[in-house]
Amino acid sequence: MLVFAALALTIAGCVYLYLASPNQKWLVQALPGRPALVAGGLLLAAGLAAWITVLRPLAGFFVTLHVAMVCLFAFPYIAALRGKGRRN
Amino acid sequence: MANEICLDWWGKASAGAILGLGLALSLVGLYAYLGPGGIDAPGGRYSLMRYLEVFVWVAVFGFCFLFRSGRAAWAWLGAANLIAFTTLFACRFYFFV
Amino acid sequence: MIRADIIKLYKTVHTWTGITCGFALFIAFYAGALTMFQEPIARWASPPAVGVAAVPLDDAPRLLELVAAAHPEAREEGIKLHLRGYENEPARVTWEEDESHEAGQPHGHVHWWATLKPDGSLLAKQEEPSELAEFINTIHMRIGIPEPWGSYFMGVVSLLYGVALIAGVIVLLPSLVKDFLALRVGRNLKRMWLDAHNVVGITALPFHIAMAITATALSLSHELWSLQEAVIFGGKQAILDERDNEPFRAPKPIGEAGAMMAPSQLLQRLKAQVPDFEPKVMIFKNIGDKAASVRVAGAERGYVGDTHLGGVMLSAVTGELLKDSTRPSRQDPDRRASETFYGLHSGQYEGATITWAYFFLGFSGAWLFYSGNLLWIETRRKKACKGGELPEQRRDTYWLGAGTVGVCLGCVAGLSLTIVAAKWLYGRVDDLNHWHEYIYYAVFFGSVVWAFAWGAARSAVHLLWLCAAATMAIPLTTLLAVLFPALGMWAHGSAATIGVDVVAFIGALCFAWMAVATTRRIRNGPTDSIWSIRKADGDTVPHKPAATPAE
Repeated sequence: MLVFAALALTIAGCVYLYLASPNQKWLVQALPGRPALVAGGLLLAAGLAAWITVLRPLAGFFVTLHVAMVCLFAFPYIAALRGKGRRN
Repeated sequence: MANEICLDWWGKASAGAILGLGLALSLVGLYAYLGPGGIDAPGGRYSLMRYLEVFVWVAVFGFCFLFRSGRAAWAWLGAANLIAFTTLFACRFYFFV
Repeated sequence: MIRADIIKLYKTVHTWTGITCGFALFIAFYAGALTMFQEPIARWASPPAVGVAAVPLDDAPRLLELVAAAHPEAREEGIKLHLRGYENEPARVTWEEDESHEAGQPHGHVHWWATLKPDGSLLAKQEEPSELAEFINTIHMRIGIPEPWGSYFMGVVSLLYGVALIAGVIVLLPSLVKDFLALRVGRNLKRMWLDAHNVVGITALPFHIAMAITATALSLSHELWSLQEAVIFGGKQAILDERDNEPFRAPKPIGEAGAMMAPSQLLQRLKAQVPDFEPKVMIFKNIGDKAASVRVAGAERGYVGDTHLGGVMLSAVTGELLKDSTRPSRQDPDRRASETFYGLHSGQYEGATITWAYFFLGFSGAWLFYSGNLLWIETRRKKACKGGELPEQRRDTYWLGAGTVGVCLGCVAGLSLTIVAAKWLYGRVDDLNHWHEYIYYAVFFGSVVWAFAWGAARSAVHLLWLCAAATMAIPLTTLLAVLFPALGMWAHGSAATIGVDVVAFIGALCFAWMAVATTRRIRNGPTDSIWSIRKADGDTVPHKPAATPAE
């Protein structure tokens, strides 16, 4: 159960980080930079803490890192594909 | 550093590949002798060392193109190799025989 | 601010290292992504067998006893007792024996399994298991080049991949913050491919750095170890190596008979002494001897690299812990660090989350090299002037385009078809494990030849449809096996094997979508590109809008 919470927190943190980026393509306007970055950072930290509780510190850190990497390269592609679908 | 950095592709790349490996082996060798537990540390060490060697090797190879010329790369990296190998062999043949 | 000449220099470095290594790295990453599901693929490809369930764990002592009596070599080398009931475990116990060979010569192994007949007597059979999953792993490790050249080659490629990463990041530094997470789709194709390439490269940078270092170290292990021995250890490494192997070595038999403890009891003793250990398989040696031992391989959760080399050894007579320094929590710090590097390479920690994350990261890596080649071609594209004639594109962009399409899609289609062959050819050919190789190489080289014969644009569409069809054949084969049992194929019901079919189904849809998109591109896209077929058809008539009424 805690695994799902950890995964959800990590992904949610990445969503905030992505939406805070001026280059995001999901919303018409990016979320206000600093608050969104702080929110994303806190969510990621909570995710990291949850992963560490499930596993151990090192493994928890690497799981958070790898999930975050997948999210951060996937979100721009999802946005681009959605944008393409809308245009056609 | 006002003068232009030259490409000198082969000179730099050969220095990075050859002297990078030399520097990797000698620095990681120093870790083997001077790291915790010394040269007789439990057996996991020689297995770990290949990763550390590649880390140094890639870093030297990757950044060696910042030298001004192939000759400079060979000179600086050669000197670094000389010092590192001297220390390593001092450890191996003199201090920890 | 970085000087422009340094950027320019590293752009050259990045281009050359990237173009020379891109093909090999694509194959390594695509096959590597598949090896994240090595076990499910092995289970999918394993024919129905007696299985572990045929002999309950309580009857295992008798089975072990009979095997040890009838097969002295197995008793000495180790009899595996399987615990999980996966489809790739043909029976409750299996073992390997040496092929007949001259002493000291290299030789292969033959595989045996054994079970109990209803009357309680022994049924042992020699049968070679499917090596499909191992074959995918060798393609991942050495892209199909025979040893030792494959390891040398991939070692050098991985080293240059590390250099390319450093160079790529340096080139990107000036625009790193401004363009982070940007993927601008639009008229500027070069911009789009550059973004598409950068976004996967930069966001997954820690993964790529870890892969470059560990892949080089793993490919060149033997060479680095000999160098270490020569330069650093000077004879001591053999002693360390010996000390390192000691915890895996079973005690020598003493020749006195002893009563064996039952496996279920041994597992209880293990649980009491090492609570956090998840056993997968037990390997018995010298059954019947007072010094008989059992090594239990398994995972200790929570550690990076939680299974590789891990395990504990118990006495098979008393259940006491004999050797316990190879599981993660007992490894010395250097061994732990080394296993952490290995775990980071193979994604061997946590569980499903990491397996899927590495699967996607592996594909993103393959895409990184594919898009890098596309970017190289796009950068060298000669654009048509307004109203002018179409310029002749550079020959090297033709060749690189065709090579990229042939090698990458050939690898994808070859792997899918060789997976399908595991079910179609089982029982129909003598040496299925060699057929996996023939099929892969035939499709791979065939695709490369096809790509050069038809050119990048046309062959991309053909080969993408081939990829889609070959990958769709994986779930279709399973479906046919269910509908027509007379075909002699099988469909396992476990979630892992159904997962293989589902993932293949989704993958096939992705390839089909790419084929449709590519068809549109080569027909309707800008003509001044190697990705267009219009000029090649002598189609000088201005392109009409698609919605021409059919009168």
